[in-house]
Amino acid sequence: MRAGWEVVIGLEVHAQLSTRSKLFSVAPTSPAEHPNEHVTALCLGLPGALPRLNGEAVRLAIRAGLGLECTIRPFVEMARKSYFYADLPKGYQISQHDLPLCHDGVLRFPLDDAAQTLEIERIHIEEDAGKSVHDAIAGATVIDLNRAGVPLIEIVSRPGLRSAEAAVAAFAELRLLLMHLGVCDGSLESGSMRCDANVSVRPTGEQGLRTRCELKNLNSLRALRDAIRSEASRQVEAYLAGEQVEQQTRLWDADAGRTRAMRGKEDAADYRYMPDPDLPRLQVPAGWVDAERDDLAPCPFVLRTMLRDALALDPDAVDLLLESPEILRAMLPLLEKDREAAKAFATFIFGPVAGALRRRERDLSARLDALSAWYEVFQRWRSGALSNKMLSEVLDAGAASTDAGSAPWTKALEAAGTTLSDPSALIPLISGLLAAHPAEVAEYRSGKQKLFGFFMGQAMRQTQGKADAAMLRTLLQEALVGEGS
Amino acid sequence: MTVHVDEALLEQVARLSRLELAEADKPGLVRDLAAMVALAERLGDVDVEGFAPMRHPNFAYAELRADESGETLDEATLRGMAPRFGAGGFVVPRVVE
Amino acid sequence: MTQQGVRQIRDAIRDGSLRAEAAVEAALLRARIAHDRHAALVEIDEEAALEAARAVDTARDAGRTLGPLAGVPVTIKDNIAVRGWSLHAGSRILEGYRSPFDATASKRLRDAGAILLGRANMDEFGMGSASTSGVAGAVRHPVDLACVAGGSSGGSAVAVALGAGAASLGTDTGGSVRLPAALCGVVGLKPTYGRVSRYGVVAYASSLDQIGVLAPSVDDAATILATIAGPCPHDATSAQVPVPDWRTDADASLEGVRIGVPRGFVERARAADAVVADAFEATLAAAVASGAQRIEVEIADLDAAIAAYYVIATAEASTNLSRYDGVRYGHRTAVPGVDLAQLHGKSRSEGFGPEVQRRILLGTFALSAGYHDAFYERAARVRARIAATVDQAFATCDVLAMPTSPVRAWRHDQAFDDPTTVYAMDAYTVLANLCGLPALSLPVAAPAGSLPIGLQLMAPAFDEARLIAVGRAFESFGPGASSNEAGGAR
Repeated sequence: MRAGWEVVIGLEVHAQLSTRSKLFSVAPTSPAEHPNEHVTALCLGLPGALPRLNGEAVRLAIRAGLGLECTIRPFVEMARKSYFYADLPKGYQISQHDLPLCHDGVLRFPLDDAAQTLEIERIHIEEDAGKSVHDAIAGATVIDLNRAGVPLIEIVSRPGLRSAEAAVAAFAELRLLLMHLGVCDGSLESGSMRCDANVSVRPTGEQGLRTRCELKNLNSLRALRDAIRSEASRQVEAYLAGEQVEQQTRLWDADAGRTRAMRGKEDAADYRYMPDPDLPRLQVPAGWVDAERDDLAPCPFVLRTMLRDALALDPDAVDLLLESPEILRAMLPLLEKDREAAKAFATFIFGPVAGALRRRERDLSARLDALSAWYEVFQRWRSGALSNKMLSEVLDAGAASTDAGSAPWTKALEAAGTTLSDPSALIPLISGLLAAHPAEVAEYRSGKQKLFGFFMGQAMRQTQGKADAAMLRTLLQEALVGEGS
Repeated sequence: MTVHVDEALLEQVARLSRLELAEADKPGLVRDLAAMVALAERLGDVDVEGFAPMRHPNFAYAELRADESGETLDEATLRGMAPRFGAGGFVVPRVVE
Repeated sequence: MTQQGVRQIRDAIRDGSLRAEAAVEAALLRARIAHDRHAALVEIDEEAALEAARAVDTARDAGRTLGPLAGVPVTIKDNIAVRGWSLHAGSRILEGYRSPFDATASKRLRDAGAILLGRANMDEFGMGSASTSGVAGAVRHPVDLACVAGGSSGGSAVAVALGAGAASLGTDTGGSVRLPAALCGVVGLKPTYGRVSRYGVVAYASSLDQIGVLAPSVDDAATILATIAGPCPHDATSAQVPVPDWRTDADASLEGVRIGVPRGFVERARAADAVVADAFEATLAAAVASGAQRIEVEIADLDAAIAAYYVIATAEASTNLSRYDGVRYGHRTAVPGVDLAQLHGKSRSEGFGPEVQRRILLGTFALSAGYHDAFYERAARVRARIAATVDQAFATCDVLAMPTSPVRAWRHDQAFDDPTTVYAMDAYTVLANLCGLPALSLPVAAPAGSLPIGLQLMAPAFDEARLIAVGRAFESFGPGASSNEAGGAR
């Protein structure tokens, strides 16, 4: 940012609510194989089709509102927002206007290790539009309405951010928060979350806000950061050149590295909002808000501090855990039970366990019902009762099974038995080994300490990997040193 | 509120309505719209102090729907109704964003 | 064939004195006249109707239980969806469109055994008071072909008057069931808003639209209504209110019934058509002679009601009709080389008729920035005021009575200064829609040689039972008392 200027940023985030069916129709929201596969008469805007509001969408929106410390209105009023577009089947979007479900909240997010806040103006429920596909037929656009009617919330912040980095940090935290609330899957790639940014600049110290531009198409954290930086410079340059900044909707062109005005948006929009007469105002059922408030899990902001400070996990493990709310939720009691081992257990789950499942093309979060068994495996391994080789066999056997739950893993653990740790069994083995390699023993004793690994490897091979590595190491050391003294 | 209905207003409203009016029809439409607006201006004469807007006959029943997915339309139905259909979707002139 | 009413046909089929096939054949014969001479029907589904009728006969022969409307032929206004049928709502914009689903009302009729004969003509999207604006042509009056049938459910009214089906489903947004019923001499019943599901109805104005029934008698209309009414999971505005059995209600006497007549309403009709005012007064006098009490009540200024109605209806319509854009179904312009905005604009301008375009323009205007508060918001507040005055009136009377229309059927060649002259025809009917109340139009005795005249009764919300009972009592001094056929078109 050029010295003497500051950027002012507000975010408008669209997040897809994790429901089975669309906001007003019974069409599924799951990924479709073909265009226009998940459409009903309402999704197409056929004459006579009518909307019915999906209760789960309302519940999730309330959850988001509570997570962002908003005031929740006791009723839902949907409004028609009229404009014509190829992928807007009814010629209006059903959204909310002056009475959003949630308003006046706050997002807490970390920036450079300090806690920051961003005021949330409103959260409203609305339906998504369809998709315009431009490359399927030459010279034409093909309309796919699978997304049309998918439930979204739009979260609008106040213009409270002062740098591109802060915007990125705020958006990233909002994404984690919605994931932890179970409101949205947080996927930027699939478009479950989309971020627009309202950007203006002003000389540092100036009080009022100058004309803003709305930046669209910011589908990654990097795009968000780069687009804000580029747009802020553009606006500063314009002011310095004595020009004015026009209020515009602009698209981020990542290839060109700059924003450009969107076509077809030149006219000042007149959306002619009106309460949707097909959807009379609806009371939020009694008890819903309280029930959701009671059910709220700790937010990532709190979890992060706990994982980092109380459990001493390293930043990578913290990030991994925060990215996977379900896994974290399942693991948290175990992590807290054994704080000493927390870091090791986290590493164990995201390392060997996730790896074993991945090799069998299975997903960790789908097998969380085996978590207690994994903990058992972890403890056995950690105590030395399971060698590394045995561990990987156990994990592979568990991962290979198609059965759910702990059973496959406990069975594999039983079958593995325990490591060979009895000195009376290991000592003869070691003696035999030293006797068979006199030259190496001599070399070791003359100071070639590296050969210790050779003896360990030989001993392990003779026990088919089942020797307790710690015990073996002690006994071997004693044997190698002891005979020389 | 007294509104002066002229061709500029007519054209603005037509643009928002996505209607392409024929030049020859415009004078007549300005007259008709002016008469309609004049009728609507009668609303200004009514004292509505203390009356909140009534959006709906006064018995609202809306209930929330359970989150269950149901039957969708098949491609043959869509193809059958579409003015132009291709690549699994409704085909329109190329849209530039 | 002498049986015309819903219950007579149903009962005759049930007791074996009439074959469903014969009933349907007779109705089809009249349907062809309704189609060819009156443009009252736009399409007749002859094959399917006969097949359904034969299925009823087979079921009866086999001793199976018959549905409550088994074998009763009915017609359906062309803005109520019937799966597999064309659904054009009188508009070119829906050319080629067939509905892939049933309206709840159509489905309930068919499930009850009724035989769906065909689609009734109408004003385009229900926007009219004469049934002259539909793409299939102007509907002609059952008695005098040179006259209009009233609208927008004119095709339904004519079909019923001609015996092309024992009843017809219409829709009523500002009087579209009651006005043509009055002009054609049949009964038109608009139930309480929310009583009948709007699912499958081509929307004109969602907060005002309601399916209604046109039939030869109040009893027939009530019988059909009982079948189609009740909660519907597809419509968020459908009322979760149980449907009473209107048919078993004992015949009501008018003894002690307080009939409210709004001040100034009759005078207004007198200024337009003295014959209408006289017929209304004569009927009221007969009711009073039968023990009813006439009470003068104060309700809304009718001009304000018409203004509120037209602003709200057109505002809602302007958005309801945005879906017709030539992209997914219906008419698309044939002009080559257009961009998307032109495709929308040309398709819509070619597809919508002039009155529909005018109403879209007014509705868009009323919602647009700068005018929204003075028009759309204001209309919603005026509506609240009107509803409050009507509520107050019902504190002192049981039903409201007024002429259905200030005039009788007018000639097709009558010229009007501007669209608002025709809007005044709806003066008495829009009240029930603005307030969501049940209302009934029934024919009253008219001078010899006169075209039919209707009287409208209105009751509190969900009190169709009262409306039907009082309506039946009024029928006893209607035109049926002297000449026994409504309309008399033979």
